[in-house]
Amino acid sequence: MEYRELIRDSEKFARIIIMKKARRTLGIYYATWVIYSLVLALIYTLLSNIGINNSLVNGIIPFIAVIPFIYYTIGLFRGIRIDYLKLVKNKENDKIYKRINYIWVLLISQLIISFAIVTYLNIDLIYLVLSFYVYMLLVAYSLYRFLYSKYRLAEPRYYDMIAIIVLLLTPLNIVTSLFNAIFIVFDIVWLYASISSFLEVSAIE
Amino acid sequence: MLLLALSLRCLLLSNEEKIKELIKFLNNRALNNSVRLAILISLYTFNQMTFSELLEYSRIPKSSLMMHIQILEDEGLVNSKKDFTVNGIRMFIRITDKGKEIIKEYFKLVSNINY
Repeated sequence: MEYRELIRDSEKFARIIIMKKARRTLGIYYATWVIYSLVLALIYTLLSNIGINNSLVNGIIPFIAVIPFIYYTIGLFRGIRIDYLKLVKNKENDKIYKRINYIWVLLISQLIISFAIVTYLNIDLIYLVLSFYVYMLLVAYSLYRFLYSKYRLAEPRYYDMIAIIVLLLTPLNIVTSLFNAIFIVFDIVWLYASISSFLEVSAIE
Repeated sequence: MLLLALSLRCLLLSNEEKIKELIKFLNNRALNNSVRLAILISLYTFNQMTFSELLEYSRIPKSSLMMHIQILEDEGLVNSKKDFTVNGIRMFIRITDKGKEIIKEYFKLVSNINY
């Protein structure tokens, strides 16, 4: 086999394997956080049935329950190397990467609109929402880097973008019960993204 | 003009040398096959994968994949280990330090040439 052919074939084949593995990792990631949301709902339902209604307990539960999920998520993404993507992508004209600026404009506009709603509804909680937003922005940013950076591992899909947008909306839940539906939307959207990711793995040729 | 021609010749020669070096590097049992090279690159990216994952993603026959893994293992580039998972016992294929060094060297050589 000629060396050029060998390099090209291996590159093509490695890319398929990497894309499938990365997409499955994303599918597991989405499913993990849907499970976290469901676990929280289950704990609160149980506590309410038992008759425990302590604000400290209610406040601390999400932080305790999140530990195994964070540990698992770190394990999912730990040790992924992008050397190969750097090698391949530097030789390509990347159209998606050039679209990044437009997506950031969309995300920042959404952030501003969300804050406007928060301020309009309840100004006292703005700092609490702000701290949650910083956290959610970090999560959304890491997800975004995984999917939209020049050296992305998986190709972005519409359900990835919806998942990021819904994630950024979840801090609004703190403000008012009107936004409780956001968590249901979050679960549905992330579950959809998870299933679609798993289905995509078998569809990539 | 002469200087330009000379530097162009030097550049061509050095590119030729790089290609020769790459061909020499790829001329061994583990790396002279595109499937094995791709498996090694994938393992380098994710550090480890299960045999089932590789089988599903690569869509090559089980016996062929087994053979490729065996060759990579014989050359000391990967190692396999059976372990328990939620889906049952799975064989984990992990890239060795030697394998990582080989892939790093490969990336270095490939980045220097046009193919």
